Amino acid sequence: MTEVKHNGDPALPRGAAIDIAGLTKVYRTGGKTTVAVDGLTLSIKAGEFFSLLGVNGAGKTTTIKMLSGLSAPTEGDATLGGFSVCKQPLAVRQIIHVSPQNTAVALNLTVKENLELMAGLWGKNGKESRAAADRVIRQMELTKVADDRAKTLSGGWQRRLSIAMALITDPAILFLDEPTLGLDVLARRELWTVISALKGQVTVVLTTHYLEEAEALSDRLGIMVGGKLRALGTVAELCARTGTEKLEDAFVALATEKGGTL
Amino acid sequence: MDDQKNIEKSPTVAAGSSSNGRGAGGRRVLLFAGRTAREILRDPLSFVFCLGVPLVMLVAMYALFSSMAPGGLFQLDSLTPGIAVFSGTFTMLYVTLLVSRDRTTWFLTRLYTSPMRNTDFVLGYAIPGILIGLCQVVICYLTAMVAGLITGSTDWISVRILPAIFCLLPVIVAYVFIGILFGSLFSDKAAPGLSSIVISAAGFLSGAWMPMETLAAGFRAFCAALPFYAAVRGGRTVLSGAVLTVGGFWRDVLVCTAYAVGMIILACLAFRFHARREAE
Ligand SMILES: Nc1ncnc2c1ncn2[C@@H]1O[C@H](COP(=O)(O)OP(=O)(O)OP(=O)(O)O)[C@@H](O)[C@H]1O
Ligand SMILES: [Mg+2]
Repeated sequence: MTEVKHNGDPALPRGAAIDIAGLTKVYRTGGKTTVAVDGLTLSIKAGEFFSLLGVNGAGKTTTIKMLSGLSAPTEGDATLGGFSVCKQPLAVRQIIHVSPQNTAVALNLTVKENLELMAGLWGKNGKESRAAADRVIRQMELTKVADDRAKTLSGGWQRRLSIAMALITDPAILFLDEPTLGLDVLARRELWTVISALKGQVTVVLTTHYLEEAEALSDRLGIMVGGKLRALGTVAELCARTGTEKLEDAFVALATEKGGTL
Repeated sequence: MDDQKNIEKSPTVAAGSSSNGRGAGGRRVLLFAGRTAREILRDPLSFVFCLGVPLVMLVAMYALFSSMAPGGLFQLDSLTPGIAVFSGTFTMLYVTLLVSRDRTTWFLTRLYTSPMRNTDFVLGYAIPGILIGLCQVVICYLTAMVAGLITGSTDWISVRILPAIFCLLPVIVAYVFIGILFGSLFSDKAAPGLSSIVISAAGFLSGAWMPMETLAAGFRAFCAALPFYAAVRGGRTVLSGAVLTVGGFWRDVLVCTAYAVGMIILACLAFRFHARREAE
């Protein structure tokens, strides 16, 4: 499994590829059936920065849940770094980390303790955990809050900690579900700098409602509408396809377009 | 969950990662338990509720009522087990709050993608909870001992104190797993309300400060079938130095143990089939 991890030997490929084939999730709650994700097929290259866009309820979080093995697909499968989420979920877990839509930090633990806890739960021993925590604290510029309890941090710092907690497990694939949700413009920009530093280090799948964020960071984007992939490509390709100049206009055109999928 | 089992059998994965071994499981439980303990103990209010309130009640009730109440209800050997059993419910409350908050903040969702197994989570919550609950009981008894020394009523402070503490272990276990059960099932808005029902029940139905002898026999039997009164009565029996009969003391211990086992099963099911499933 080490061969797909990014840290250490620079000669190794950075990040791992994702191949999604017909991934479908149907929720049945009460008498209601929701097709949250509908036959998603998509390939993401190792080391690629990929953004998944879509309006509320488009199925982005559900896609991430299936790719991370949290939720079993109703149909279809996906391989991450060569491991199938359906058949080898534990192997998949070793190479991914999800930074969820909520901050998901241990509130009464300090920044450092949160990081060491993650490292330990993902299999590092005490010494390795401390070293990794120090490394990530430097990388994410968390030094001045390292000994503060998470609940005393502002939203922006909590988000940063949340991403740091993902990075410390040395994932080959990192899922960032709305990492800048609820942040002010400055905090968001700061976080972009941090996130863009990950480019090429690890495969990143990002979801966001801030289109400038997707535009600034991603190599390619996918737009989901009603659980289906409506469009896929670089910002330039999506704009060319819709005859628009800005990603936001392309997004609106694609998200409101009737019928046709990719 | 079934996926997990399949994958455990897969030789490539088993060989490829040492972190899935048995020893690693123990390490994960310890790490998570350390986190649980810190989350609870770093909240100053937990000391107020888990220690402050019961100790004040113990000392105040003893000081105010021991000389006048009938039947020795507020003598230390009667009052201490009652207060100890009551105070354990606050540990239950804190476990409930922690588990439900871990669900709503998606902290658990994040960890569901870690190598943690369901039993690792449940043990990681339960072990610190049980230890905190036991500490509460020990501190209650130590306080009573000091109060007894000061007032000179120290006749029960002897070898009986250890078994008296020990016989409350089942009810503490039951409380902690009720905490995991409520925390797994209910939101952090609803869970505290439900916990306060159990706290009130422990206050009123345990006979901690109410003479159960004056109640109707049927109601008393009902209370004895609940873990609260059974635990209090068991603790009192030990302290009194009475013979531990099968139909008396051991029956009370058995009632509490049955609740503990039941709650362990329910809490594990709730965690596995509700807490874990809702993240899907
Ligand atoms: N556990 C669940 N049970 C039933 N329906 C669900 C569940 N989770 C998601 N859904 C439904 O699936 C659809 C897709 O939800 P999802 O959370 O993936 O959307 P999203 O793209 O992440 O939206 P947002 O931008 O609001 O986060 C929605 O209609 C949602 O109501
Ligand atoms: Mg979402």
